Amino acid sequence: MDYNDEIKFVCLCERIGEPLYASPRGHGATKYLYNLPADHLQPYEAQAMVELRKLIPQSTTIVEIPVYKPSVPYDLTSIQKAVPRNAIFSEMDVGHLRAADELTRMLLSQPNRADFFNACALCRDSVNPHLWVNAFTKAALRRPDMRGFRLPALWEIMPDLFIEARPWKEAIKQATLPARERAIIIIDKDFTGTNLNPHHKVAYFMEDIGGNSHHWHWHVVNPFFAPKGSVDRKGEIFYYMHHGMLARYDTERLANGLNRVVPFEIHKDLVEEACFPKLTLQNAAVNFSDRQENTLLRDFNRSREPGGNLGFLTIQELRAWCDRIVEAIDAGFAIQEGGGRVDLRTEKGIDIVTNMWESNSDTPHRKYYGMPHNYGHSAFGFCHDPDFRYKAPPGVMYLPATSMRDPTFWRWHKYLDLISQRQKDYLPIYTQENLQWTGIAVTEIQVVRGEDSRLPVTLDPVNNLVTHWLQSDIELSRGLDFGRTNFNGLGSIWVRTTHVQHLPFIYRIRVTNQTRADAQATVRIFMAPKLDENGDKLPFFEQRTLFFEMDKFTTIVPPGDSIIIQKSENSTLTVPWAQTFREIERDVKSLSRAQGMCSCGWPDHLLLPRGKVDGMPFDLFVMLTNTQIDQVASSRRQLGTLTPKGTCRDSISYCGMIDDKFPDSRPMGYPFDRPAVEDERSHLDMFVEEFVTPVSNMGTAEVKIFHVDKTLLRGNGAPETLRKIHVTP
Amino acid sequence: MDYNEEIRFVCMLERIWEPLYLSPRGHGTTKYLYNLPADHLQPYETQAMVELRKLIPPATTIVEVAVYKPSVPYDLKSIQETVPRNVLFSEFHERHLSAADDLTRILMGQPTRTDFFNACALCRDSVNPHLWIHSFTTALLRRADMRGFRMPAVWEIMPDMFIEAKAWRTAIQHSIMPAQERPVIVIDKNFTGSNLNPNHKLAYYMEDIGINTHHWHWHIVNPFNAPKGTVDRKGEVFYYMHHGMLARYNTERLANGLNRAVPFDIHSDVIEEACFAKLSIQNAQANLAGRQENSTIKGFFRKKDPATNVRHEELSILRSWADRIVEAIDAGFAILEGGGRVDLRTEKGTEIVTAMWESSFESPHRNYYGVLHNFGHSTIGLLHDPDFRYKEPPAPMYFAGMSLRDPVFYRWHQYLDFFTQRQKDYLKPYDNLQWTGIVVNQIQVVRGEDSRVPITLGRINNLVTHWMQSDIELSRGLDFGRTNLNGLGSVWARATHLQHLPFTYGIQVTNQTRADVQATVRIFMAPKLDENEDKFPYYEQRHLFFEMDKFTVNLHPGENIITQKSENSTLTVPWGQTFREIERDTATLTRTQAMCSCGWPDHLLLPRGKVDGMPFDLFVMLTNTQIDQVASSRRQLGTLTPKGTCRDSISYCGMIDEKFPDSRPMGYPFDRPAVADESSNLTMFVEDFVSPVSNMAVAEIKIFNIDKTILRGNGAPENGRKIYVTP
Repeated sequence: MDYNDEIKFVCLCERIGEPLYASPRGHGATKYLYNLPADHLQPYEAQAMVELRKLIPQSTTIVEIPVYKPSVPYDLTSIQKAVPRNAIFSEMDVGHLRAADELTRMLLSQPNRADFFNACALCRDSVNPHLWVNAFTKAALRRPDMRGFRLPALWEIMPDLFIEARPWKEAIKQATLPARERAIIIIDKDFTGTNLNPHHKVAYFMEDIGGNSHHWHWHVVNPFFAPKGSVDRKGEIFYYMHHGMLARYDTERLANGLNRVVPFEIHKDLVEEACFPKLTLQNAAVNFSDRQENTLLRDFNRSREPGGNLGFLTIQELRAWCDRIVEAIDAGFAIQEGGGRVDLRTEKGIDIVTNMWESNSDTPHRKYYGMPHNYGHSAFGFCHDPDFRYKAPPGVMYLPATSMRDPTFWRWHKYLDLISQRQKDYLPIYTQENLQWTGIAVTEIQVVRGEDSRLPVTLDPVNNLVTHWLQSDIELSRGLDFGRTNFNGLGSIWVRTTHVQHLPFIYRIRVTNQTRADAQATVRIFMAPKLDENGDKLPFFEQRTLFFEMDKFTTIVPPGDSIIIQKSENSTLTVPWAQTFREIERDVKSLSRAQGMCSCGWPDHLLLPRGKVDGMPFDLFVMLTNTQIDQVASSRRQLGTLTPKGTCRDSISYCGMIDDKFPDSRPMGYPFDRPAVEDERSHLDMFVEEFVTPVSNMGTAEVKIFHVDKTLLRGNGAPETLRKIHVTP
Repeated sequence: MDYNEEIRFVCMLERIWEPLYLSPRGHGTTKYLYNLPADHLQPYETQAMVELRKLIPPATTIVEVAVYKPSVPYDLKSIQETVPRNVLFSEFHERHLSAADDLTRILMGQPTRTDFFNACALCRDSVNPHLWIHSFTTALLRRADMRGFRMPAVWEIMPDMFIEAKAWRTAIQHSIMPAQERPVIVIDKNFTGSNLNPNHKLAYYMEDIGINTHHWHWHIVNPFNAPKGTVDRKGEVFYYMHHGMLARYNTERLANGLNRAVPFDIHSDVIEEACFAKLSIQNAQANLAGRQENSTIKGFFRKKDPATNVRHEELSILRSWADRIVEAIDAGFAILEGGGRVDLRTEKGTEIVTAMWESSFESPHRNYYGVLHNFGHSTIGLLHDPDFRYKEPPAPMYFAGMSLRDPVFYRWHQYLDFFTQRQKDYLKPYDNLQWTGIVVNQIQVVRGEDSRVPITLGRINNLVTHWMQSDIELSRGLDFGRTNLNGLGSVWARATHLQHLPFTYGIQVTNQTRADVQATVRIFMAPKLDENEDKFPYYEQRHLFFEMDKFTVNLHPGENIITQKSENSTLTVPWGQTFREIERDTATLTRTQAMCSCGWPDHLLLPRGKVDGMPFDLFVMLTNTQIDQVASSRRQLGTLTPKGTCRDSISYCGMIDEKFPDSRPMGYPFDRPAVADESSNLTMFVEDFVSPVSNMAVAEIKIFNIDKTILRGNGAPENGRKIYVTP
């Protein structure tokens, strides 16, 4: 895919709520004008276009991009009816997803890239903009002719999902100035609240734009609505990714002196936690609703809301669904639609149980087990105005891109996670034969910290990791619909946000291969906090649910002693800080790319938990398993393949595979996904060492994460010479 | 004041958050550019100004308005510190008000109108825009050299206080269009909610832009922090205006099948009513908070919020304030600061009691009786985030210009209203009602017509309300929008409000004396039936009588017929002038009385009534103007001025720097019980009160609501596209 082809698509993603005819696109030396077919515009639009083009400064270099009717005709009526342009599109809403899928199908059916482009360009201004991005992304991921396409960062395409009212309105204000007089809008590191609200201490995690962007992307790649059987290990990956997020959240809470999250029990009404997100959605022209402290969860019926397709739900039903799922787990079988039972005492059980509560199209009986996950999100999202009597928009829990901001997200998911864990508790423990890889021994594990000259640290580089703050720049103008930028020379408006970052590090794993042949090993790296709220060592039965994945890759272990080295930035779990529109725009050199779609994955900058100023101890765990056993033969993807980080790739561990088998045959989260002993609760004094020691191919080491409260600059955007304005969200 | 002088001031009121250097002002054929002194701008601002002026189409007729330093120097530092530019300015916040007063003094201190202009223009972009408007308006009202200045409607100056998010953003969206391609944004008549919320049936009243403007204006004209002794009958006018609003609110509730408002007792925690206002305030870059159902009030202390860091009080202290005031009323005296007592068993008692709860600087003891009214507004307006832990802006209850949107406003004020009523209950019934020799024989109202609302009802004593759409030019208040480059055209929003067909009072009076007398005609109205459709007993109905008009008339001996047009009511002000009307009206070069100021909105003069007619008691009383007129007031009681130019509603808004011209207690004769023991006279009706007094009369009239909408036609061209938006 060459630059000229790519830029046509990239510019479509600019100002998604602003029709293409209204203004030129692109901020580079060249601006792009899309020439839509004459009959596509209303007469007033055609008039306006003529007038508005007169305002483009004479000196501008313009490339006109003709848009034709695509060869496969389409009808958008039902999509437009299901999701009006000014509705709040939600991936939690069945009707919305169905409409998005319809558009995706239509986009996929276009025979060649030119048709695909025409269809994308023509539909863009006729359907809901967020629905369009959803369908466009899914289609681009699946079309072979779009391989190599680089999607700009989600937070530049839809900044209104990430940037709060104050900086947003400041940006509109700055937009009136000529580009070089505009100030950089620096968003205060204090995020949207204060520590009088204890949960706010982890706001840097809940409000992180990378984390929220990941969650959005995950739900686009893994819609609950995917046709039955089309996604390998669908339920399990839902469980595993969210479980990983929860382990990280609890770790951040421990690092901040907070207790681990208390699951929200659905048999309870009261939501103690408040949420004031301060976000406004441009296309819907509404402000997300707040939730005050101590709000009651109530039955909802939002059928009167335009574009709301969820209908109604009683909390009683939601409770019944959850009770039935727990019943099924404890009984050992689930009821199937149309009669019959499905056994849950198998490896597949985790998939089935999660399918039940997610609930996706693979659920054994959707009527009977309901849709607890989605409806729970909605119940939280609507509890301030359950019957739309106040015409109040939903809260952030209703959208995957924003729900992480709400403390109840974590409480609700913890509750659901415990349901899946309960299922796992019924499985037989891993036998020694399963865990042990005879002849392979992990003898020492180390991490060695890298450096950044701007952050002088005197700590020993071995086993002492460091986190700090980093400011990254976001170009808000790419998503500022109907702003004044598009006339004032289309310059940038920079917003500078702060997020956690860490100094890069490498793993050094000393291994002995006692066999006489090369062994291909899958290296599984996990980490968990060592101490509980009291500063006591976490017993294994508690700690194992806090282990979160750090990396998974394959390597050849030659006979004898060897050292496996892996760089933190090459983690297969993470994706790097996303590309900006500007980077893509300016990078005209790489004319063909085979793998560029920057997609789903845990944000690289959040790879490490924040830790503590005086060091927070963690258990770093490494296990080597036999790739010959691990690799799923029918998967085209080779387990743990590494691709250079410069181009983008998915995190398979967290995001699964599109149209392919998941390459790793082990249960996700292996070996921590099951109890280590039959009766876990009577082994309260078992610790991780006792789990690890008997198995030669496992190892553990204590590392400490120190947080240095200093802020560095990524320098990925705004020129430092600009004025600066500090804004509290 | 001539046009060229006026327009310089008017254009400053456009886009008040957008600095003057940034863009030309005015939408007429001529655009105005303000040339500020060079050292007034930052270097980047000067740069930007140069660049931005290049973007003005060459064909534009430009008038450059030079701004100089005013002759009296000033220092804005403390004002800027107290109220930063990007906070929500509140009339209920004492420090905000005193900062506004500082600015008002700076503006008042300028010796000439030119200096005044220069000071206004230079301060404008250095202080909080809402504070600037507050001080500018206050100064305008008081400066003799600004007489005749026409102020555009508040909803065009600060549309963000009136127009909800959806319509607002639609306006931004369509402002990118060339002016002639822009649609009219028609805001749905269903307002911000639905009738699943019963209180929403009153949305047309609570969300009316006229009534909210009135309330904003009232609090500017009558700030609670006016220096002691400067405002005549300050407490009483506070009580009376809010009492009138409540009577009207309760009337609307009855018309909609709802019970009258239940007072919110500060000793209760739970507020059952929710409020989702959906408003965003531009300069604060914040969306106002909503309130969910069944929220509880909490003591607040927002020390970290520059906008709301008022003094911290526990809820129990607020409750004590309320108890102490009731104690004082029942004991018959209040405690004075520094010792001593003040008697409450006098006519002045209303004044004192209201000053206690308002509380104004007339309060006998501000520490002891507290600041109940303001703190109630703040407590309710901040209950969603009482310690600013969520950095959340306040809710509408915190602002004079928006609080009427919240049902709890009326519950809170009903509670406060009872204090003053309780005080009144201790006074003796009136023995001064009769005016011997004057007899009101008959009263009636005769309805006018509008060909667009055809009705077959008899014209006599059958009044009619309907819906009306009026246009608001949003572009005048759309800061940092794209209009200012796209040829500065208009962005029209069309709002629906209640309206009535005009009518005339006909009052037949006999003057049995042999001389001409001057009479004050007092007209009131109240609903006739209660929630059960039973006739209201007088002791309940008297609280529901709301003023319709008050004027003076000369009565010849013998028969007289008094006619008075509804649109000349001295209670009301007409629909506010648009920027455009002022801009285009270059002919009227001198005006002596134009400051369109405080008053009940004309379009809400009549309650909505019911589709099948709602019965009302129309009450007329004539009193002797010689007794009524306060001699020391320069203002003649009930003077009529032609409605084309603007004037104040004295009854509701009081007088600035002047004695209130009417010597009777406000609300006379309904402000006191008619008999000593009111609650044992449950079967007394209004007729029993009226019949013995020859100069009083009552008549039954009906108000019919025709559910039809007609267009005022005060703005957008009719052939344009329309876009329909639900708030």
